[in-house]
Amino acid sequence: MIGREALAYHGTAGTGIATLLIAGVRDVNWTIECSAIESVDRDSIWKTKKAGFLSGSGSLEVTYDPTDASHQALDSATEAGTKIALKFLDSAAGAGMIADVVFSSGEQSDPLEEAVTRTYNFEFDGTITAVA
Amino acid sequence: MIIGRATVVSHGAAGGAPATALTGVRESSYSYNADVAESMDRDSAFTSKDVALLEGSASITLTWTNHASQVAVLTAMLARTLLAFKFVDEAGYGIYVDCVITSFGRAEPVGDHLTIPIELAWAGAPTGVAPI
Repeated sequence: MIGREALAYHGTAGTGIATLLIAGVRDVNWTIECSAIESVDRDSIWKTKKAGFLSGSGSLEVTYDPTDASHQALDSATEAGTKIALKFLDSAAGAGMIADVVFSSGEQSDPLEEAVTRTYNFEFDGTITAVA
Repeated sequence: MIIGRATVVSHGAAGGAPATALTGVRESSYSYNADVAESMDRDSAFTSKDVALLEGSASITLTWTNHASQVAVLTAMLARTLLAFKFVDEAGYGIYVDCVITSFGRAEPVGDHLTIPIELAWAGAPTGVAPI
């Protein structure tokens, strides 16, 4: 599966729904992490571990269009410090994940002879749900 | 010489030997680490050392195809469920071990395949696999 066929959507935080397509998406990266709770006692040789808290973060790069509604939605959430739902699928009917996010940082690149891009860095807030 | 592309990575329910081959694997590796307790005192000329505790980890990078064997890893992680992973090389040697899935990411570059980096922490002692 090629990244250019993947899709990113946004929606209202707290609804578990994100159906509004984000335009101009270039590269996306997301990672879910789980802490490993370690247990060691005097009976141990190998450290034993159990799953702890889940969390995650990611980044979304777009060819920036300030007149596009989806970019405006991302900008609004960034500037207001509010949450938004993001969903990433590998294809239109494919698999991925959905979660609420907070935007932790962002950057705009204005190169001399290339398109202006904006990158939104986010952290997942609360439950992360797989989409099959 | 044995080559990496012939190594088979499998997963299955924790507590047993995995039997489901993970598809799309590009890179895999595993390692173990010993906490080495060092001792020296006024009677010493040389330091003496003992292995105190052992722990292990593994990492896998795969090309995402939305195959059930791949989705199962994400599903297990989000459920904070341990999965057993098995790594068997071309010669038939390897290990299997229960693991905490500590990281599952997806890179969606616009001009390349979707790739999934996975990080695992061994939940306990591994079991050796040898050719029958």
